[in-house]
Amino acid sequence: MNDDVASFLPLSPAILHILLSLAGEERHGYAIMQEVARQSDGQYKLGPGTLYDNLQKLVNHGMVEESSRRSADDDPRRRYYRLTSFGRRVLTAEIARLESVIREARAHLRIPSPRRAL
Amino acid sequence: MTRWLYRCLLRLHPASFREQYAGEMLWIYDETAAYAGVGAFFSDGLASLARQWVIRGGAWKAAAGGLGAFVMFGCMLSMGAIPARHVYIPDMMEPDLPVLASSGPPPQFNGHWAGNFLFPGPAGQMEFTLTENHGVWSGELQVRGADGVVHRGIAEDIRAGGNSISFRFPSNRGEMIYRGRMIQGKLRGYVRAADGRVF
Repeated sequence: MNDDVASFLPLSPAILHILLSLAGEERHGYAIMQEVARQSDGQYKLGPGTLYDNLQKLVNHGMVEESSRRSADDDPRRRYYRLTSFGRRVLTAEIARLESVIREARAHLRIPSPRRAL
Repeated sequence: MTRWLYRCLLRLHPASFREQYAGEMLWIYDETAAYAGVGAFFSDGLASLARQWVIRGGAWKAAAGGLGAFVMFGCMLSMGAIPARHVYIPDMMEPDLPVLASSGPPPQFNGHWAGNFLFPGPAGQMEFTLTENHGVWSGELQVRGADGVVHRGIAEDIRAGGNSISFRFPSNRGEMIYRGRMIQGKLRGYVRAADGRVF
């Protein structure tokens, strides 16, 4: 497993959204799809094939792991996934990279930075 | 039939992937295909199939899988399982909410509607009645949560236009918003709670 965070950047949109959806809590695959659609206001939608392709990569790279969480009324086919500490580091690094991109873009396009409300 | 075809598509994936994820992919299909449409599932599944075999460098298997998938796709088209103009509408897609048409609100939303929440899993039921009277909408609704508790209320701020409708209603979780779109005579939509959760 490659532990070098920088070698995984930049993340693809699918990987970024999957990691983001798992940043708050562990979720099963369908919940990840729903959360990704919610995060992007319905503009980015993952199908199950794309989701599990990427989940497989994330598990292989040690960014996501399967959780043992189960509840009594869960369908037995449903599996839960959670972010590992390495996955969190990769996500944090990607967010920092994106912030720098946005700063650059604002400077070049002369877009004022959002101001905090008083 | 389409479920069987989707299972076949999953079977064409490499064994390691299939054993790990095919069960849950089929579960998602079972949960959502009825209202999301099967076309998106198959195009996504075909793309996944190609990626999975290309990753493993099994070119001949990719070709065999592609051929099988092509035949399957042809079968589906001939069965009419994939409509000519397929629109993938997951339950959380924000429908367009145009302002009320000047010619008057669309009458097709009038009446009693009932359905189940599909997320998380089959949980909860919702029923509502919408009435349009001289261009003014009113509505009542009843929601039974997964906990069995029934909430009744009045639909407020009802907006209808084109094939979309939305309204707000109070609940013990705060104000909720229903947004729906009419597709082939059925209203498909979702409820968003004040905390952003979607049902």
